[in-house]
Amino acid sequence: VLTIWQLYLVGFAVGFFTVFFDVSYHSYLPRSSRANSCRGELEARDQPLCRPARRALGLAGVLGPGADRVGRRARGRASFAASRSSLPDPQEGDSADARRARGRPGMKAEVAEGLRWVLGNRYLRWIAASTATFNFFGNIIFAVYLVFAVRELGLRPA
Amino acid sequence: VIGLVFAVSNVGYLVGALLANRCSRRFGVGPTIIIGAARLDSLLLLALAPESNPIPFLIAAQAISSMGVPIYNITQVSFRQAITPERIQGG
Repeated sequence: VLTIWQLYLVGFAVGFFTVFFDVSYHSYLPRSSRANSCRGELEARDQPLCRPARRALGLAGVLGPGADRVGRRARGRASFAASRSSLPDPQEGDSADARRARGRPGMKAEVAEGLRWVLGNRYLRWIAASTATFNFFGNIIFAVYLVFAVRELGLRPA
Repeated sequence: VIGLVFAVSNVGYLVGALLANRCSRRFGVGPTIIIGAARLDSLLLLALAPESNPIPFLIAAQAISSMGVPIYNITQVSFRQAITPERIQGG
């Protein structure tokens, strides 16, 4: 019943929402560490904590008794929401209007400028391409991995 | 069993995080990014896992691939933030 096209869809959807999470937290870091010196270390601290937490929540969703597909997704989203809400808001006191008043052109123009920058830089272009490729297929793999482990390999949850 | 596989192989994240800086100092930023990206090849082990004894394959696949995550991300994101003007970093 589960076809490859549904998996492509899942891979795409997970990636779509991940963009919002990643963009906001990647811009949160330079913003909150203007000194720049600890950027690499901050990144180092964040990654290993964040990803397994997400996986673990996903795992709980799949294996928990009575968990249905919707519940699993909801828990995945909830883990994003939880990680987001545990951060202090970097934009506090900095509304869209305030930014526009300072002469910033608004979101569409800024997104376009950012895309031009990424696509225009030879290194960033390929980093973006490779990251997009393996995030997409990684999402697909992890969507079926647990089902595969349980049904095909006969592993038990606990 | 599955929980155990995840618990054991997530140590890979920690190892990767500890290795990332050393790696980019030793091999350079570019090769380190490639090493980090090559991690996903290890996921082929998931498909190769034999039904009779799948667990070592799963642990190896996940441990190697999760070790690559921080190596790739730390290097790649730091590089990206270093060459991108602050103004367009979305702050």
